[in-house]
Amino acid sequence: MNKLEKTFSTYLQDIGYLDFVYLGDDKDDIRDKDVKPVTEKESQSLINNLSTSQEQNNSIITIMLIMLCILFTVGIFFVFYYRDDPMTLCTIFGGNFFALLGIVSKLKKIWTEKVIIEYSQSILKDLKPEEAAKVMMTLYTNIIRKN
Amino acid sequence: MITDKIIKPSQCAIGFGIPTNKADFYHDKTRQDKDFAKRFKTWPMYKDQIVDHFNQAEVTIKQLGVFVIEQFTLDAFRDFFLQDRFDVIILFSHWKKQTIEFHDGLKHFSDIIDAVPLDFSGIIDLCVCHPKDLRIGLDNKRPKCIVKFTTEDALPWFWIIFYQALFMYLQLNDSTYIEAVETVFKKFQHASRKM
Repeated sequence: MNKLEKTFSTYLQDIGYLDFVYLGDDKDDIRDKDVKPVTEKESQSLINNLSTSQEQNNSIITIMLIMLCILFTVGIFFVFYYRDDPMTLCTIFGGNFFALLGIVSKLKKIWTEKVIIEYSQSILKDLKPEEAAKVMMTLYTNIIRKN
Repeated sequence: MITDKIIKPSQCAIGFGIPTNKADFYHDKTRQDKDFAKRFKTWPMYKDQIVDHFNQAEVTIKQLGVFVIEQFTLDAFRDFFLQDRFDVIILFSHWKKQTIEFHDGLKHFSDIIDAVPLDFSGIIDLCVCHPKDLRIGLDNKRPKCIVKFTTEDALPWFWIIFYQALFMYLQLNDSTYIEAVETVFKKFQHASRKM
């Protein structure tokens, strides 16, 4: 479970959206008054946790962009340095390519998280907590957990 | 004797009295004579715990030859026995205060007993939580049939996966229904201990 998934699951657990329902119950009829409403406090708590994750993601993105630039510069340096040795150049090119591939795929994942966080925060800020909770549950089950 | 008979999936029928799609879920939320859907706060919660698992299992279960009915009514339950082609009838639904939920509402357990013919000698598998009175009633009033039930709290998604595995087991092995249930259940317990 990654950090974003954990943040969402903690929030959904707190508001009872991840509670299991059994195929039998001797409880009385479920009425609206029995259902604990989602409060502004819980929405705010998720906004805060998402902001923390967003800050961390922004730092990671900056680091990765710096790494990308360094790799590119080092690549160019080696191209000139080993310009007379095609075998070494091929090896360096291969290593460079796979390193870039790894960084870009990680960047893509973080970028998706960033979009989800921004989207969630705007919903949490603008919608009623109960309505926002439904959207968060949909995001969690359909997108975050499957990512 | 049904306890010694080799059972294949095509001899089984399963009826879902609880909603298995979004339209039924929202419809049940507004109905006075329904209960299960009201225990879920939102559709995504219901979809996550029931519908996703059901949709996944339904394809396999149908391919194996099991007769599957959604929007299961008490009349449909009665029809299962009249068709006289099923040895195992599984009622997958929700128990609430002496009633079981069908698509057409909550039905008192005595109506369910009445729907079972006196001479039915197959297996009725009650996949509902704590149907104690129904089980006792069936045992007393329909002594020829075997009633399988659970005393544990039944998590729907667990049982959906369980039945999928059970029908696969029955298809691949020559086994009686009761043996298959015990074997598959033990395998599930073993797997959960490993996790």
